[in-house]
This record gives sequence, structure tokens and C-alpha cells, in this order.
Amino acid sequence: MGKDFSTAEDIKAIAETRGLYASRHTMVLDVNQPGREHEKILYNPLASSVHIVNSSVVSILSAIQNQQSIGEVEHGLLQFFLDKGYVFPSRAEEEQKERLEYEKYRMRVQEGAFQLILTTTLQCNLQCSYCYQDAAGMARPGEIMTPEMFENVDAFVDQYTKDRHEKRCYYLLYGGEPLLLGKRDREIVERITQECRMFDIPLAAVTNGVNLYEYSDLFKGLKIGEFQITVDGPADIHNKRKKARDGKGSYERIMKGIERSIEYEFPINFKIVIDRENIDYVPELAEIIDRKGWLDLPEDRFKIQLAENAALNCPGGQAEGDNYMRPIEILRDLLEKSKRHSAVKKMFRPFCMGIKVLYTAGMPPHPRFGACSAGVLQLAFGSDGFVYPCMVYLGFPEHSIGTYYPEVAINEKELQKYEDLFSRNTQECESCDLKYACGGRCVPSVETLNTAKCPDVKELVQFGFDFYLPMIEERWLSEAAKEKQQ
Amino acid sequence: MTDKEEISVEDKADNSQASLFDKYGIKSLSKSKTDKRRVTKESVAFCCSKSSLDERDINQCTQCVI
Repeated sequence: MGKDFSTAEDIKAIAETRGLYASRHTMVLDVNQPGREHEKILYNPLASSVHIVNSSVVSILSAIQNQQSIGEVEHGLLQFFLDKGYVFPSRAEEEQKERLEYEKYRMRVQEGAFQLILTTTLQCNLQCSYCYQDAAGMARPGEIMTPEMFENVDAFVDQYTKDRHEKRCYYLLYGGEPLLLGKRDREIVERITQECRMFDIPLAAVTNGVNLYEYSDLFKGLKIGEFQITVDGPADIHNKRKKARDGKGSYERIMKGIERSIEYEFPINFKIVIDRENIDYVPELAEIIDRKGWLDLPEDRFKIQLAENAALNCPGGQAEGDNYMRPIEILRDLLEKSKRHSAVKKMFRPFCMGIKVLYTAGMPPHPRFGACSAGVLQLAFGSDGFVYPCMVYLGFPEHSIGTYYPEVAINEKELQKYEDLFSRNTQECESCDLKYACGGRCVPSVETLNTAKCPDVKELVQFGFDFYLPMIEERWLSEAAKEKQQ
Repeated sequence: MTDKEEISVEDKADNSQASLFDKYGIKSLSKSKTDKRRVTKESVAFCCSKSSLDERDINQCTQCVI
């Protein structure tokens, strides 16, 4: 990683003549365990380096950062800093590292599958208290993607991929609510599943799950990526927040759909949107799903996704903005609940800016160059015949990158804005030292819907280490013991 | 340099690094880089997230997963 300076004199010479450069992306975090106050965690998400060190190491690093005299420092320690990307011979070398990591990221992205979002309709059978689509007036009554429109999706993708890259793809059903029971609604989903069956294309859906039971036989035998379904608590609180437009609750129907999906081995992404109104009901919900045995399933069959209620910030949002909880508030609250409720403890595997990955994969995440793949790895086909770079822009034709019906046409000028994955962040995010841990915020969510707040990155990362460090260290100890036995 | 001498130089380097790590309490929280286990759990995630072949590529935005 760092240059190999073979002698102490090499490093010392640089340090004395022009100074070493301490990476601005290194985070110094606490080991919040009794008796370990003298230890610190160094985490550099650009270099994917993470170490526990004594506080004295942090002092030396700070001296380098502040361009103060570092005194007599061992060559080996400076070499360690350089090797692990905590220190560079110059800022230019760190920038070079950023470019290198970005190229690696681009190459990985090229290997990923292409997500074709099929927005069959923007209508919905629910009226959620916090729906940003309702608040933004996005619903288009009677507007449904027809099989004839769907035939043109392929033609658009062909034109799009010409001179670009040929890719594996998968379909994502999206809305509104894609699984409605009207004749025309069913017709288009049947046509899409027929295509999936014929060409072995994986299918996924973001659905409210109300009619999933009725649709499940249609999906049988397909490669299902996942169904993302939001359940906001046990029946009463869920039904209060996610009312059906016919006035009936949605909870029982959704749970029946999930049960059937699990029986059919469709992966479920069980999302809980959390705010002050429902957080105290999470333990009861956790007990319900634990009793059903869902928490014992492997993560690739059933995973929990905790989410902030970002839509509460949306202008015109129907719910009370006061109910909004920042992600770190949600995690701290649920951690306390997990100490009193075994089901919450079982369910609670917070993501914490990817620190979870350090536990599950054994290595830190790759540096995050924006979470967004709009216009590069995803295209959203609207029920209005427009193609959007992503689903957040659905219903805003001024942001479309072309049309697929009635005419197939690409707006190359608009599409060019999305060619560079690197320029996806807001200016504020781009200049932030923590950007490689966070990935930045969704630009249209910031600019169009005003739903994306800066997420307290350092606090979330610290929370992640507080939570996962004991598990990580226990694992390393037991693996080391095993190695010794062999 | 003979093979034996080369190994002895490596051992020396390992020992000196080990003592440096001890002195400064340096412990890596990543598994060893020599561990060749491929971290490639296909993660085809949805909503506004990108697909990824590698578990270490975080593919969801900060709003959806906390």
C-alpha cells in the first residue's frame, strides 16, 4: 500500500524536509470498554484499514497531521502508518490512492447486474401516513404500464447498451404498488414474469405486500432476488400508519403474504421504518416474527432492514415532523430495548455505516464512492413512458433521460450527467472527510424531496465498533486458539 | 544469500514487527490479508441500491439501512 522506505533515514528525510501527510480520512474512535481507555481504534475507510492502537500512536499521528515535530519515532511505526494508508509521503499520493480505489470500484461496478426498474403504476392501495409520493403528488390515476409498453423496454436497453456495456440484468417491480389486483395491473405483471421465465431473468419487488399472497403462485419457480416489504409494528400501530385506501388494515394480509413467500423460499427483506410513533412497538413486532421462526432463517432468506423515516422531512409530508428520529437515536434506543427483550437482541444487527461488514466478512467495507448507481446500473421505466435515471425522479419528466414509449429515444445530454459515478455527491458530501465511510447522500433526495439529512457518520461508526468489537475480538481469539491447537 | 539466510532475515523482520506491535498495542481488526477466502456474496439489493458481487461493496444508501 504505502511506499517501502527501507531505512529510517528515508522516512526521516521526508518528514524533516517536507513533512509526511496524515490522511484526512482516518477516524480515531474509542474502545468503549472498561479498562481499555488507553486504547483507540484507527479506521481509514479509503485504505480499508482498521486497527486497535495505544493512545501514544494516536498522538504521533496527530503530530504528523498538525505538522508538529514527531521527535524520535521508530522507523517501523512510520512504515506501519505508510503501509496501512494512515500516512502518505504527500497529499498528492493520497489523491492518487483515491483515483486508484475509484478505478477498482468502477471495475467492480461493471461486474454487477443491471437493475431495470419497472414502475408498472404509481397508484397504491395503501395510504401511508408518511408517503413521500402522495405528498409530492406523484400518483397518476389510471396510468398503468401496458404489455405493449413493456415490449419497448428491451429496445431502449439495446439502444442504451450500444457503445456501453453488455450486462446481466434483473427486473425490479416498483410503484406506487406493483401488485394490485385490477385486471390491467395483473396483466402487466404476468407479462413481465413470462419474460423472466423465458430468459431466466431474476425478479425482485418493492411491494407493500398486501396482495403478495394472491401473486405468490405466479412467482413460483422464478429466480426471486427479494421482496422488500415494510411492516411498521404489530397490527394496531402498523394499520394506523399504513392504512388501506378502502379503510381496512393491511397487517394481516401482509403477514399472510410473507408467510407464503417464506414457504415458497422467496427471500424477504423485512423493512421497519422507525420513528417516535412506532419505536416502542418494535419489541412486540420482534417477538411476533421470532415466534414464527423467521429470525432463525439465514439472512439470505429473511433479513431485517431498519430504516429512518426520511419522508417525515418531505415538504408536504402528512406525518408529524416531530416524530422523526435520527438513525443514531434509533440505534441507541433499540440497543437499550435489546437488553430487555431477547427477540430484539436476536433481531438487532445494525448496519452502522458498514461496520457490520467487518464482522460478517472479516474485513472493512471497500471505500464508498456514493451509494448511487442512477443511470449507470439502474434505469427506471415509468408508467408514463419516460425513462428516469432512478426511481426518486419518477414523475418528474424534466429529469428523464429519454422515453421508451411510444418512441424509443435517449436524451444523451441528460444521460451524460450520470456517466461519472464519482460526481454523485452533493458538494457538501464531496468535501467531507468521512465520505468514504458514508458514501454521501442521495442527490435527488436532497434536491427534489429534501428527505436526506447528513447521517451522523462518526457516531454511527462509533456505535458500530461499540456493538461489534466484542464479537470480532471473540472470533479472532477463538480462531487463534484453533490455529494453535492444529 | 542462501535460502536459510533468507528465512532468517524474514524471521527477524517478523519478530521486530511483532515487538513493535506489542509495544504500541497494534492489533488488526481485519482478518489476515493472506486469507484468500473470497468475499463474494452476491448482493442484488433493491430499492435505490445497486447490485454488487462483493459483500464489502455497500450497496444501500444511508437512508434505507441504518
